[in-house]
Amino acid sequence: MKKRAVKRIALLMGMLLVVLISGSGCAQNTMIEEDTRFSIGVVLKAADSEHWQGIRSGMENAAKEQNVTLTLLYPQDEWAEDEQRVMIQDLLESDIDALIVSPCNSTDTGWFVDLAQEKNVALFTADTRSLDRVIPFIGIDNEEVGRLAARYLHTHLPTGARIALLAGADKQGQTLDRIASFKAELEFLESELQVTVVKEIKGFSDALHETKQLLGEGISGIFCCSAVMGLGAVAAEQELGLDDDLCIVTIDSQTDAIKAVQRGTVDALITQSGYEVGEMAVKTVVKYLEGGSLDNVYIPCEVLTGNNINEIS
Amino acid sequence: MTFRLRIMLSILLVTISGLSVFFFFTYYVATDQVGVNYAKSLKGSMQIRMDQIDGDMREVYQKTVALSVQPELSQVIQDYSEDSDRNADDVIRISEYLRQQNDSPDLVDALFLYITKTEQVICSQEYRDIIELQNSSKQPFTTSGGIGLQPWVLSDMSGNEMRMIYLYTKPVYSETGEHIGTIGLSISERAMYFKLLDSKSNTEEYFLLDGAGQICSAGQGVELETPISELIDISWNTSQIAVGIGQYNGKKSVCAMVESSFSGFTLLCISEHAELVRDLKQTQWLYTLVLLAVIILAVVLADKISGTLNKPLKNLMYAMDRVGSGDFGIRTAAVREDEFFQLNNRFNGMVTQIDGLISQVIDEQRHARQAELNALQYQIKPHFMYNTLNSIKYMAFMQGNESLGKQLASFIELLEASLNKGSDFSTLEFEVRLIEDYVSLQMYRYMGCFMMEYDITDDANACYVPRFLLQPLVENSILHGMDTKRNDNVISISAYVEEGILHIEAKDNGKGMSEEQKNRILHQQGDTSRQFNGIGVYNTVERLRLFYGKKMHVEMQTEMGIGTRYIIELPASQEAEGAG
Repeated sequence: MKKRAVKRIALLMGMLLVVLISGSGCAQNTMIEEDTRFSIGVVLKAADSEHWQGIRSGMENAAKEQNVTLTLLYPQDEWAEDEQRVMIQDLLESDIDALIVSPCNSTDTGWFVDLAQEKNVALFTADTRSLDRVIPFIGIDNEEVGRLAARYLHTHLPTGARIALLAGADKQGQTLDRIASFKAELEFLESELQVTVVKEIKGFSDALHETKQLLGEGISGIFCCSAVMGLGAVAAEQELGLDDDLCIVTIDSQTDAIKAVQRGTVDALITQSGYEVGEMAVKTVVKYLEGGSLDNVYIPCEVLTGNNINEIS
Repeated sequence: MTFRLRIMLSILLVTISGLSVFFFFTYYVATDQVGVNYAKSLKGSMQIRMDQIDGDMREVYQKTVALSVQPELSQVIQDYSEDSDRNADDVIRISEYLRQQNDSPDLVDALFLYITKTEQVICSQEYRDIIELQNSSKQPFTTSGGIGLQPWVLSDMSGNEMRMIYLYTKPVYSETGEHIGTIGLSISERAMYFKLLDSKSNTEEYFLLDGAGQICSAGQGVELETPISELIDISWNTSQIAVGIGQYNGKKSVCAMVESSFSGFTLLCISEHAELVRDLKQTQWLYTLVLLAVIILAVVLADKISGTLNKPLKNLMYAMDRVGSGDFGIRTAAVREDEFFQLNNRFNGMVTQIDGLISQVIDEQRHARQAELNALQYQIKPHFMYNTLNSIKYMAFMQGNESLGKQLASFIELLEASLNKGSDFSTLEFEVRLIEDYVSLQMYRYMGCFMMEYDITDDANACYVPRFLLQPLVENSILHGMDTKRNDNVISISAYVEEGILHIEAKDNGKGMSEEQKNRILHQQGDTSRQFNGIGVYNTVERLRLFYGKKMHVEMQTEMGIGTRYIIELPASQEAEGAG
């Protein structure tokens, strides 16, 4: 009886010892690891405006949410095609699963399409589509943007009025899409508006300078292909002391542009959230890498005016 | 070891081991948790540091790319390469040009321009505008494709082994696509360390590791280009963020690691675990004190609890001892309705039952003794009478009184039957013959004022019944039932077998009995002082009960002026052995 009791106590103490040792052993080896699922490379056209910063922010937040690694690069501006080329090459040489590009030159994308295929990297475009090769695109429908702007100006300006279209880099898909669809829509509407297209407008100063000149030529409406250009047009109107004589239509849901609509200095703003484009781009790529399909993803856009801005906001 | 002692030891063992486990675990888990929580919070700040490092690296990379595609730079290289009279002034001019291109001198340490044709490196730093490349330093400039997103990690190209730089290089091409030079932008390791890695804390130490796991930036005293595996005993997976506990300088350390997604660098932070849990360790004595206090309390409580638990057991043991010594009157009592209560109840019930059984046994023994005495008495009296009567019978025959001789012969036969010590059972036929002998005697006495009727089937005659079953009943009818003033007294005996049951009926048409008489006959033993009173109705019934138990049925019906009837039902058996 005593021997059995002693055995039981010894067994209990032994178990206690094992538990303590294993407990302290666990403490030694505690490891917490967070593996990212995919690695995505991004080469934007620039990061020099609220629109591009929004895209960057949307991509970075989506990457964090989706637990993917994001390597994001961008050249100095939208015209730095050679810089972008080096960056795309470098990213394709690194260990990435997918690459998102906003091409500075939409008409020369074949080389990186081939390289991506060679490296077995999934390729997407965001904000700006490729014009020479079929690459999945995430962004707003730029043809729809051109149509919306044309319809607005056609509706709000008298017959025969002179209007201008300020566009950015000539080699970029969104510029070409917007110009083409803008003109096509006016033709469709049998509009008698007289359009002057000015390309290669690089930003606020260019837009300000060009608008001043165009106002001197008697334009009464203008479609600026970025909010920065639109605000340049507003500044030109104000510098010339014209009190809202110019009907300004622009694009990009950036804060100062929205405030300009609220103030009435911009008549219509076609919405394009850079953040939403960036976020959707990363989510679409992740979805594809998880086994989804390769399709274009269009983010809806609408026209923001002084009448509906409070409802839509 | 007594039960109480075992309870006490069990309570103490459970309490002490439980508390020990609790305190050990609390302490270990707490210290471990402190380390892990610290590492978790640390990784947030480390991610910010890593993002800053990546940001700086990205900026320098992008500047390098931007410069490499600048047509102006290409022109500068071509002019210098094609100048047959190039001299130191030209170098100084290019160095000045490079300085002008550095718009972030706080970030970019120096710009290097490698001229392919002359195999010279012109530096933006004025004091060393021309650098003669050592073999190991040539590769970054001669590699035509650059190195992608990751910088070269090099000792300073001027040969100063004390300095380390991170260098991004990109080839510069002419309009015809010829590799005419390489532009390189460097970040100083020291600048990076003091800007982003110097924790200014004694508890944290930061290391920047290159893709191969070698230290490429660390505080003073750590030799650069040393594999980190030589410093810390922990195997890291190449996950982006990891925290853990490992051994550094032989001490338990909390480690957090963040890997860059851009440059391929890894930021590692090591903190001495002991420093983190120093406050916790100071509370160790408090744990010990509490443990001791609880153990003392446990001893006191164990004593009380074991005493309380042991008390009913002790009472029960006392009661058992008393019962063992023959005191069946003792009973135990329990206050609470628990297992001891049930045990006490069962013990009390058991004692009561044993007490009853013992009383029953004593009664039975007393009855048996009385029966034995009675039997002996019955044996003695008939023997004496038997011998005497035999003498008288022969005297009667000798004197020619045959009538008296026959009477005596019947009586002797009856007496002989009663003295027979053989089986307890005889056939019903034999019992009837005894009745006939008995009745012939009684006829003589009662002057033939009654008559007997028998109606017994053959199968009933063959059945075995307890001896002297009928005689007491007939005797009772003659003694108590017969009206001697009448001559039509009839005592009839009938018997038959039906469905394995032997039905016997003995009845008379005499005076009958009152309830008082009936009770006396059924519940009192026969009076042995009287001659030939038989064994008595009571004894007959008791014998039947002993032999057959619940398998027999005896009924006595009597009514004053009508008569008395006995009904007996027994299992029919034609074998003496199986009759009972």
